[in-house]
Amino acid sequence: MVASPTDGGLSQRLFDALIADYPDHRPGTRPVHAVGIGAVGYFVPSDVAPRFTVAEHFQMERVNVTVRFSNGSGSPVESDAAIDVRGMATKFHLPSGDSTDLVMSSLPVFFSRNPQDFLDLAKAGEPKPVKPQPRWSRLTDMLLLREPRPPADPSSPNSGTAGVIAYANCHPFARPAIIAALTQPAPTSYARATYHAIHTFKFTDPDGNVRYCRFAWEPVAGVRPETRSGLPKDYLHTELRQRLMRGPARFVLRAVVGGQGDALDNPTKGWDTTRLRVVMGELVLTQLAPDAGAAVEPLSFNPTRVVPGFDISNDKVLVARGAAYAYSCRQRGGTGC
Amino acid sequence: MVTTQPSKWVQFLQSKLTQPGEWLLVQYWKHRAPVTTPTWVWKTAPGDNLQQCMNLVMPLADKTDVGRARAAKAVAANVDEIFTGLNNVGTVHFARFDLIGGNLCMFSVYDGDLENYLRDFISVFGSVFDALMELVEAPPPTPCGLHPEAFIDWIIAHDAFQITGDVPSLFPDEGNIANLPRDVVLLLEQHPNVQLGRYSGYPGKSAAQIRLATGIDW
Amino acid sequence: MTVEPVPDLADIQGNILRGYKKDHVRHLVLTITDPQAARRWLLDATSGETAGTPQVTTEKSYSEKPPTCLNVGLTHAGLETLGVAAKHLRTFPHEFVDGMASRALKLGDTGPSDPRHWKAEWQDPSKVHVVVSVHADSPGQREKAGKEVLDAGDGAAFDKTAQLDGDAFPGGQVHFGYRDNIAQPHFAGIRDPIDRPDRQPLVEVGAVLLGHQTPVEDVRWEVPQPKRLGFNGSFNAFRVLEQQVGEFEDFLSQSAALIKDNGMANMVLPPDVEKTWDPPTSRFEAMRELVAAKILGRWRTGVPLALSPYSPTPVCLGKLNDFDYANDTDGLCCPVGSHIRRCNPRSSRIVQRNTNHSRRIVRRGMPYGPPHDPDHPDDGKERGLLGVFICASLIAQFEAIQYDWMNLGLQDPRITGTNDAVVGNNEPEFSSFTMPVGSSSIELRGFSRFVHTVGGAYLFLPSIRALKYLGSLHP
Repeated sequence: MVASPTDGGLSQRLFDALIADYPDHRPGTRPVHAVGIGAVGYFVPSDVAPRFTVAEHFQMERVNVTVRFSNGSGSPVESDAAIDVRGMATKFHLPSGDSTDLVMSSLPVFFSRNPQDFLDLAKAGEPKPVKPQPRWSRLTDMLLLREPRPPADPSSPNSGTAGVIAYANCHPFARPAIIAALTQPAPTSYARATYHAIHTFKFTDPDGNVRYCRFAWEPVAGVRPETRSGLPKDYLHTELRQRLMRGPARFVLRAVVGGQGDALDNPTKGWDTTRLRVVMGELVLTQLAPDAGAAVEPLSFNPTRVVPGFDISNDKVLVARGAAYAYSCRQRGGTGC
Repeated sequence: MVTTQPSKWVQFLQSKLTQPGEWLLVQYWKHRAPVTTPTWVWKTAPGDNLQQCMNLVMPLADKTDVGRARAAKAVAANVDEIFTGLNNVGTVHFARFDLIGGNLCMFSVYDGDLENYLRDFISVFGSVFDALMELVEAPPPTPCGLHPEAFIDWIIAHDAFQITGDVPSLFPDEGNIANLPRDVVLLLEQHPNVQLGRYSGYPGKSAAQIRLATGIDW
Repeated sequence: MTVEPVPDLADIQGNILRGYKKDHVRHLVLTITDPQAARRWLLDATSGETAGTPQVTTEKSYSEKPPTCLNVGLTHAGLETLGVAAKHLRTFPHEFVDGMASRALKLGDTGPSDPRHWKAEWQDPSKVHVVVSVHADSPGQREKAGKEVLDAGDGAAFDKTAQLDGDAFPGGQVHFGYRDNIAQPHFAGIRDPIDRPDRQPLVEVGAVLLGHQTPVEDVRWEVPQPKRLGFNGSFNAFRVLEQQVGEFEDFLSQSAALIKDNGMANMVLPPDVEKTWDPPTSRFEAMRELVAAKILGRWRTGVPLALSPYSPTPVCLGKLNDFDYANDTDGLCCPVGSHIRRCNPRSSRIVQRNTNHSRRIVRRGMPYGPPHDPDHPDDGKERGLLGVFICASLIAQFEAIQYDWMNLGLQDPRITGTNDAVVGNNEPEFSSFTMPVGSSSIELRGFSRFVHTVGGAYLFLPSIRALKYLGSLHP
């Protein structure tokens, strides 16, 4: 069940705003996370998971999954080595034929408190001609006790980065996510990054008690950022293929249970590291999706596609994403929208 | 072996030339764009009260090996006082004494409020602190049992500053994110000892809850 | 422990060691506008000349009960305005220097109770200097004494920021319907005729007076300097606590309905026991009363669960405080998470084994606002408690109870992570209360905060000698 699409055109505005950030967007593809790769496997819930939620996929011995890893950019040009957010969308295939999704990214928190923030940021991030760096920038940065600015990418004369930084200067709530997005290096492998669900969800336990939780997939192999340069543009795809030929890639699903004072409906705010942390199960990816991902690329993943016992919170961004993802899926002629 | 590293002498000269420059820059920016952080950033949320960290760094008055041995002896001589006291305080996950450089350090993880924790210490092993205070630089008045407030203030002043949240949220008034690295420099200038982060293998549980769950009686 | 001499009662402000038992109170929240006139008033009010300015009441025993009693509390800003030297101001404990609003996170004053939402008179702590409290037998006497204070220095001494009146309810009840003020510390060497047997050790006067042996072995709180300013002084955490009576009563009804349908209902309250109550009542009403009792630890009649787990009917009034939890380690009679067991664990086993008796405080609260009328639950009127919590160390007693025990529940691993259901800083998303039943329990969840902090200040209650010292300062 995904959120209702009757949202007064908000989904369309969110969709259009993202398209505007990527002038080379190709119709029929995702507006962001355009380049991805599919994998399949199964999820094994932990022994304690049923104590926290009655959601179907945590009661079974194992449940089949389809996963799509992606780069955050909406550009159809693959550029695996770029500083960018990575995505990991997971679909749990339930015995009934229905499914439920977990949509995560490598950002620990989000940029926006609500859809309007998101539209403002997307507007700020529209590509503009890059101003050349002042000649003495290295020296002035040193004297200002700042970190040296990264060199501009000569291949793209336009960039939205300056606009995004200007937005962050005026909007303190957006800073943690923006700084992470602008500095997060590519991983050595899609299977060596942690992915966060960002939003708060509600678990209902067998006694009917509700707990507020945030989730992350943690790679069993550990997190490893890429430090080498000159890697091929599609090295993450190649690496995943080779990795899965050697053996499965595993992730642990970790739930953090919120406590008093935690932001339940504001994804820009992180939670303290002292919160109760529960292992909900382990994901085992065994192979790439068949037919070069022919079924995965059009497939809809939606963060609000949940099942009883695992509900969405009042997070306005989450609710808006639910509708916008469904709208976007229909726009690009996707499947399972 | 071919090496691109400059020789030791070059490295030495570089450090002497660049470090005074950095020191001057820090002094300049400290006055030009001072950072203000709450001196007592002790909580991020009202419910965040378990497994707090105390990182007490106490410079020894005598930093020679003789002075350090005296500190080691003072700790060793009070093992019963310390263990019994910590057991009675009941809220301590871990506590340890370390000698690091010329400092006697006490690092611990405890539940609840720092000031309550320290006061419980004074009451159950104040004599140990009195003995240790004879060995440190600029000690508070002793016995700590008759000067508990001064003692607690002294301890808080020697407890490492803790960065509990993300760096941007430490400086909400900073208008330019490019200045955040400088803000961190100026923050560190104020606090020689800083706790940068913490991890717990079993977060969200008190020491007594762990004891109860592991069947060793709380 | 050596027994110390009894302090000079004529030097100690009244209402600290013994309560006045008067039915009306007025707290005047004052800004000092003319320090010279304010000092003059302090001298007059401690001169012993009863004919002129009303005198600050002391602990000295009186042969004839005075119709009004008057006491003075000063904030840090007040001491500063009166001219206390900076070097002396620094010798006060830091929580008092910083003030109550700055301790909000520690006190659980967050969300709607955040000091930013406090009432206007508390918004600027630098303007809150003095709280003069007038206790009186009648509203007329209260009015008269209050006016005399405001007339000090021909009206130039003080500017009135607020006037907070409290009036006792018949039977000693407070807004949630509980009979209050039953348990108070019994001080060593001090005789209070209303003291009831309580099976607790006598409390050292140092628990409320500076300069004396405290209940914490080998520890004495530092006396602010100069000694004549600090000695025999005390601290008062003065709090204006608004009570949501309608929400509280709704919670009782919802919980009663939930428990009535629970398989364990007959274990918490034996069938038909409510027919033996005086007066007899319905099963549902009895369940409501039971919930009220379980979260507080006493029935609303004041009868403790520890003595009477199934009936609120008083047996013997003298026994209202004569209990401990020795035979109730699991809280089957009085839940470990109940209000009175959190605030004073008596001899119960607690995690901090050395603190059972070291955080005792004196409470002199009085209700304000009209009683809740169930027929007009949304009358839009404010009501609550003018809370007076007296101790020698705010941080070691009042704040420690508030932070570790009332909220958080650190004293027992079975309640850690939960807040006091009656007065705690609860949010429906996280609140829970455990009512142990047999080897199991019934959980109440999803309740909100019933008591909101809407103002308050940390006050120093100087001795009479100290008030005279303040009155004679020449800054």
